Amino acid sequence: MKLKQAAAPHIRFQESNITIMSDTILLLAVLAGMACFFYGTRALAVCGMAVISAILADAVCVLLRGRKLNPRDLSPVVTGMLIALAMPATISFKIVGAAALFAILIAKHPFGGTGHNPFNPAVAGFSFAAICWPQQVFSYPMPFEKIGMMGQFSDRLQSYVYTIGTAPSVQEIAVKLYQNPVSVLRAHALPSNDLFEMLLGNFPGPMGATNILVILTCLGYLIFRNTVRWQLPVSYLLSCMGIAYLFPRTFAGGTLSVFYEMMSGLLLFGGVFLLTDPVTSPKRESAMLFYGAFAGIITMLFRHHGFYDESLSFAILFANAFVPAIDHYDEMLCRLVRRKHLELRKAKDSQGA
Amino acid sequence: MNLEKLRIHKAHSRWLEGFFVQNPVLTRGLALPFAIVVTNNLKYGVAVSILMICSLIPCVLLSRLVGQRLPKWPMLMICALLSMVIIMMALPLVTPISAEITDTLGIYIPILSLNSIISFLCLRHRKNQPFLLALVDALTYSGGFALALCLISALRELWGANTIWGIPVTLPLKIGGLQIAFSGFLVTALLSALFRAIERCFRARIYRLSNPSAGKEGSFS
Amino acid sequence: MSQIAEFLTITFIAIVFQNAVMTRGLGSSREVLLFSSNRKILWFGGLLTCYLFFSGLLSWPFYRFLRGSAIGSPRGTLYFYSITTLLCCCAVFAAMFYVTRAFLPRIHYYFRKMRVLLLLNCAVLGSILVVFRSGETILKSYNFIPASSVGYTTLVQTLGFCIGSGIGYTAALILVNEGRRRLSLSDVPKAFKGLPATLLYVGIFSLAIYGLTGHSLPT
Repeated sequence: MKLKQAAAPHIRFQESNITIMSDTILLLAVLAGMACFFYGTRALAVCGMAVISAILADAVCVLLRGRKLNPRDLSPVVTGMLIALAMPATISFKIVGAAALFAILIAKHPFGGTGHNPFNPAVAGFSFAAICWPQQVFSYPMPFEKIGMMGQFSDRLQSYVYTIGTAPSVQEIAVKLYQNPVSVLRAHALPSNDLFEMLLGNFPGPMGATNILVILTCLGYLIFRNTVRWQLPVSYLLSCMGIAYLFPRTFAGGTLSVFYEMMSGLLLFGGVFLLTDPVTSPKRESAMLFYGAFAGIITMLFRHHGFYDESLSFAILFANAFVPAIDHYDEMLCRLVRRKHLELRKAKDSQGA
Repeated sequence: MNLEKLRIHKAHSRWLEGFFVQNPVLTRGLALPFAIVVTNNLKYGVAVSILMICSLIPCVLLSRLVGQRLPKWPMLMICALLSMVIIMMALPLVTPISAEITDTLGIYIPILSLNSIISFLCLRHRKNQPFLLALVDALTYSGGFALALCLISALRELWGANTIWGIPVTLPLKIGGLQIAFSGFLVTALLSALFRAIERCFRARIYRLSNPSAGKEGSFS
Repeated sequence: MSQIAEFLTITFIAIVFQNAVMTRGLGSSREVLLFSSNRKILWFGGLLTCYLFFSGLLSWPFYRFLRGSAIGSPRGTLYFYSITTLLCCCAVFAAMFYVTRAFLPRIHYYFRKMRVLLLLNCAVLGSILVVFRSGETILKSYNFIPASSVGYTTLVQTLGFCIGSGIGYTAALILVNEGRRRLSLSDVPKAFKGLPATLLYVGIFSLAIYGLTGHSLPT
């Protein structure tokens, strides 16, 4: 018998690294298209910046380690896209680049590259950007507002400034930046956004995370294609909903709180794309159920007590650190159950004989 | 396989190992809390290094002198108390660096007396080591500690606050997160990996010089 | 009742928000971070928690006296009570050594094995000094319960923080150990094997905790 040696993740199903990654890239491209519809070419430029810096950093790391470049490894593209889509469209290019570099150079390659990272690189990169430049990362432009492709965040005005026209008739235009409903929830008030508009994505927020209906469709597609096991996102979203219903942050009661919590910020996007990364999720399905519920509880705890407007990325990092422990104890539990089962059957057999 | 030169190199480097080859912070992983938390400013790095130099040398010498007559843990207790007293006495040396330095460093000044460099060196030189080697080790290890702390704190101050020793420097990007304690872990880890890689390259070069026939990858790891 | 609430709150804060290893780096040295089995870590953590608890208990009266009599400036007082705390820690350590040797040989076996790591562990002195220096600010800054203000750290707060620090330290070490088990199966570059990879792991976890608290902690 010939045994093939392969690196983690050890996937025993039809799909491979490239099918998973290309499925995800396809869906992220749809979201990027939506972002382009809402915010214009600036969205595409931000995505391109993130993807290019991630790919370059990845190539440099692979070459530094003395390996061959693998053009079939699409994971840096996914990392770059995820980082870009979690940011506002007005984010400065430097910040996106720094986040992508952090993701690849610190959260991914020191641990062994694709398939070995204990923390989701995109989440780590985004968290780093959020902790370093919270003002820029957590203030968003209104959709359909005209944003020039090359603009700047202006610290003093809390707005975004871009220029139009060529040299003789330069005109500077300031775009006002708004907060996501998640910041309103954090202040224990009720957001004034219309729920139906929110469903369609017509409210200020991260580029890719506002299109609630599209993301739900993506979730259906990923589960249908078996790229993501249903246990993880479903248990995550259910536990988030449960906590939002039981401990609402607004005075308006449980049901409204559930709707606003689920649709604001990065929660749905994170549950569908960030949490379900096959490398950083547990291996067994029972562990996935537990991990999803655990991550949901952590997310809502971080939202209740967190310092920043949106603590979801920190919560996912926090939960990622527990994955090896969850895997280990789940394996022990499974073995125990199997052994008890065998013992019972043996006892029955001996009784029958 | 000719390992003669490597052995000679190793024997020679024993005297100065604390600076680079066995850097107490970056290679041996001793006294990490100080490298991680208080290094957000070059001034703090220098102040902690000064206090460390002042306290480490007398402790190592003391353990060399009385170590044989005492069991391990009472000796370590005496060393810790001695270093605490010395640190308190050496405080006037660091207050000129910055007025509020003792407030910012806070508890990290008293707990400097309980660090693993002291325990490592005191236990190492307790018995049967030349007196001169103990002195040299104390000097080189405190030098290595100062080197590591200055490197880490200079990096963090330069990119985190865009200043160096309080003097503004113009850089394209200000990464505010480098001022927070978590980045101390990250910067220490990266520098530690860098030190190791350099050291490995250096040894591999010596090996290849004395074994020209060895292949490029060699049996060296 | 409010005392119990205060105790539980400050214990929780010490475990999660101000974890000794993850946020202050206290007690993170190579030997401790690279412990190889959970069993050893549990023994070490248990002993450390006991050591912390009794040291806190013994050194609190001295702190209270020094704080009350206000010898010198606040800074001078910090150094005074850090010396008395160190003396108390030494006394507790010696007492634990002899007591376990006489009555609890099984515990003494582990205590003897880990005595250097326990004695020269700055998590003990560091945690006690942190709570002495800023116990009330810690309790106030998270808004869990309305904190009463008396101008110094009470005994309940001290003991709660000590126990929480010990538990948090143990939990952090177990988490790091599980993470290292995972890393040992993966293809870590040679330069990063061992300490650097572990430090990066702790660093990224610490990034998550600082994302929760949002600002630097009092030192």
